[in-house]
Amino acid sequence: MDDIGIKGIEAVPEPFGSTPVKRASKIDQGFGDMLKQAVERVNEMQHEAGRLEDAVVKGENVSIHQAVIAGEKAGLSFKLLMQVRNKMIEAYQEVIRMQV
Amino acid sequence: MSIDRLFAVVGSALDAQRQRLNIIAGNLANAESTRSPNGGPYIRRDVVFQTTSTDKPFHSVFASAFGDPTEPAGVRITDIIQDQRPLRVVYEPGHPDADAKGYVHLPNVNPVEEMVNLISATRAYEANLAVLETGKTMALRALEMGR
Amino acid sequence: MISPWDSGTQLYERALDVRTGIHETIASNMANEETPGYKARHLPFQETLASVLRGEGLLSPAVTHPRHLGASSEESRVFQHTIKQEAGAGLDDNTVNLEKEMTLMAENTLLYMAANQFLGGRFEGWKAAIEGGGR
Repeated sequence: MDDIGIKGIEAVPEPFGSTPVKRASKIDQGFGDMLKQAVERVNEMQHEAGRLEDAVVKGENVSIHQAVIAGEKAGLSFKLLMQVRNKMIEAYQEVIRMQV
Repeated sequence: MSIDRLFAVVGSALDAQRQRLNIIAGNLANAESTRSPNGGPYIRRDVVFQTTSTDKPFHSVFASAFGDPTEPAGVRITDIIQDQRPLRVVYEPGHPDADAKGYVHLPNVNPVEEMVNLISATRAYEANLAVLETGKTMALRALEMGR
Repeated sequence: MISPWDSGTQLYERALDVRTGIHETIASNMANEETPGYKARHLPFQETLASVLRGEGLLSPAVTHPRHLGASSEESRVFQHTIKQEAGAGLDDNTVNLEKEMTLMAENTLLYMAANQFLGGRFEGWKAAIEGGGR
């Protein structure tokens, strides 16, 4: 896969952290909870990125690449979350339109 | 490393080398000056470099001079010394500053030596500028990441 | 680890950190090219990267905690056990070799750019994957 320039796709980690297997075994945790967790994590990451960016702007001892990388990661997570949201809404609308 | 730590190191070096250039220019300009404000001929000057810690530039100059290799090390001119080498003596009875025997004491400046120092200082200045330039390019490239 | 992407970027991030550290030692050496008694410093890349990846004085926990910010140079602490001071005496006891430093700098910069570009490529790949999923 590397040779066609989309390397790293196999390395895409589980999107929002903790292992899905473990979560599935927990019956009391629904999809909503998972989504809530994801939103919280993305929020956390954006805070982190913002903090590093602030530090660079304030001239603290943080290298620029660290801030940029944190920003990129937070952006990716946010985009991923948005896609999940869009898919969910789509699915919901499909269900709504379903003939009973 | 934050970018301003790099800039502090390089900036200190550029500053020191520029000061050194000024001193060299002064030496060259006064290579033949037989009168100085202190009386007597001009005495050649030289600079003394010392390593400084950029994090605490003012205190602990001595403590961190060579002690901690993990601190980024800038440089500064701690002292401007007068060259102790003997003055040049030239027989020139008509010179207004000639002594009773007709000898004139000229500054202990050797223009060739000064030129060599000049080249050395310029080279050091340029090298440090190159470090700054590269550091800047690296940072700019990092900013473009993912764009 | 604070984000799910870390496993894919860790190596590149740490490489960038170490390359930045190397650039800083080169800057110090160049600045002190004429300082009597100054000993050139060198940060061996592979050794340092390995020690950072092993988690000896990890960088990210240091900067991800607000209390640590600006307190002291965390990177310095990380590189402490791999930084080398060149012994021996050149002229006026100074061991900086300008040409050597210039060469090191060129190499270091190139490899920094490489790591930077690869990491950027990774981000782009992920971005494309995510956006492609919307269609």
